[in-house]
Amino acid sequence: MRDPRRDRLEGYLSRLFGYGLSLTNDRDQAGDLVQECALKALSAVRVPTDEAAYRAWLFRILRNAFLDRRRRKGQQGQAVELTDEMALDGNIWCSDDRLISAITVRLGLAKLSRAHREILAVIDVVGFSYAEAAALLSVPVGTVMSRVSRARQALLVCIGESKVRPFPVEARRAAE
Amino acid sequence: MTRQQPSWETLNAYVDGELSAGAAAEVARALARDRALADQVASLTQLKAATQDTVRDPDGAVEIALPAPEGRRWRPLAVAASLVLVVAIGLASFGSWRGAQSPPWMVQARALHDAWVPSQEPAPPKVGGVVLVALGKAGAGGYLKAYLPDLTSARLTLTRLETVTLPQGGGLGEGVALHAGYRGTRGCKISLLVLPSGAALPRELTRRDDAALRAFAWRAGPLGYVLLAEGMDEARLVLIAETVHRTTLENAPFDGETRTALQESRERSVPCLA
Repeated sequence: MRDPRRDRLEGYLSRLFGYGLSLTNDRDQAGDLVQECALKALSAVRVPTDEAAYRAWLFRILRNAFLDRRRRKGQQGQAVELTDEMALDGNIWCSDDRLISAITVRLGLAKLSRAHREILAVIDVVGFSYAEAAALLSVPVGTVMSRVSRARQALLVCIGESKVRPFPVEARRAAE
Repeated sequence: MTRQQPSWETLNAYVDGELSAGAAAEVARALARDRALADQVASLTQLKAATQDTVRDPDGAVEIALPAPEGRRWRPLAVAASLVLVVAIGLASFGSWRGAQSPPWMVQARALHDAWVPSQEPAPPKVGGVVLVALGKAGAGGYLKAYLPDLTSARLTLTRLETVTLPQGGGLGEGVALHAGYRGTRGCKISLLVLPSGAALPRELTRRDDAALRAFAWRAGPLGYVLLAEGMDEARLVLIAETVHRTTLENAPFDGETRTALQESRERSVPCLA
């Protein structure tokens, strides 16, 4: 007989993994975090019934598990660095869309600060609204808005600097 | 009266669906009258979608395209013919390079492999999944296609993907090559070099040992491949080399049986010595 608690949790596993990956930048550690989160969620006495509250609760468990691990390793001082922020001077940014692909984004994300990776994971992978992200990260909504835009700009810069280029569709067809 | 352009923050919030109806309508009007702005929003939308794709479970090969050397183009029929030939020969057996001195290709390949020190990478990128990329800019000569395998099932993660301009007179030939680096969780590292021309390499899967370094070289169509590792469990490395060799010929992702074999081989193996 299926366990409804487990079924409910399974729907979030891939997004929990994505969020864990953004925090750790390591697939193995992300997997461990998801496992720890799942154990806590399945053994909790009180579980939110509302789906939005449940989702926020789950991701908070994972984030707290990550912060606990960092504290145990004595790394708490580096938790929220925004070292690669850059000035938004209002210039129109221009990009070649062909550079944006799963691989260039992956390579770019790995070069971002953890805070930038985290905000993009929370918004784009997990699918939180700005308000939900603000609650999770304990920051104002305006900070989320600013952080998202800075993180995307940093990511686009990393992609632009990469030597790896997506294969143009026209050239691909010609090659085939 | 000049209308004010939406800020970068506003465009991001628009893509994320975070603007009020009035503010979103204002942005939509701005997009309608400004092509550059519309392009930015299209890029942001694509970036958001690609970010969502990054957490999908890797399954399959990484597809790479190399700029074609002058006068040479990808010819599917020729590749198919070589594929049939090599498969007929059999993948379980491969030749070994004879001779006391390391062949020229190995000397240069080793230098590239040794120069890659994973522990010195500040933030190793984690790459997996099916992706399509090209090296360098599209030239008039078109592209050659190559497939990089996803070795996640062997617990090896593609963390390096760099182009290397090969100097004239080196053992690996000339042109722009690709250096793919895979890192394990127990100290292993594997380099896979994809060369725009395989002329300098043996046609079939060939092994060459030099002290602790193990090198495998082969050709697949017009491309050349060199796989290098040191200190890795013998049975595991041979399985990986044969699997990667086969992938580059078949241009197809691993099947379930292959993934299981790679996984089991890793579980049976001892950690890398290097």
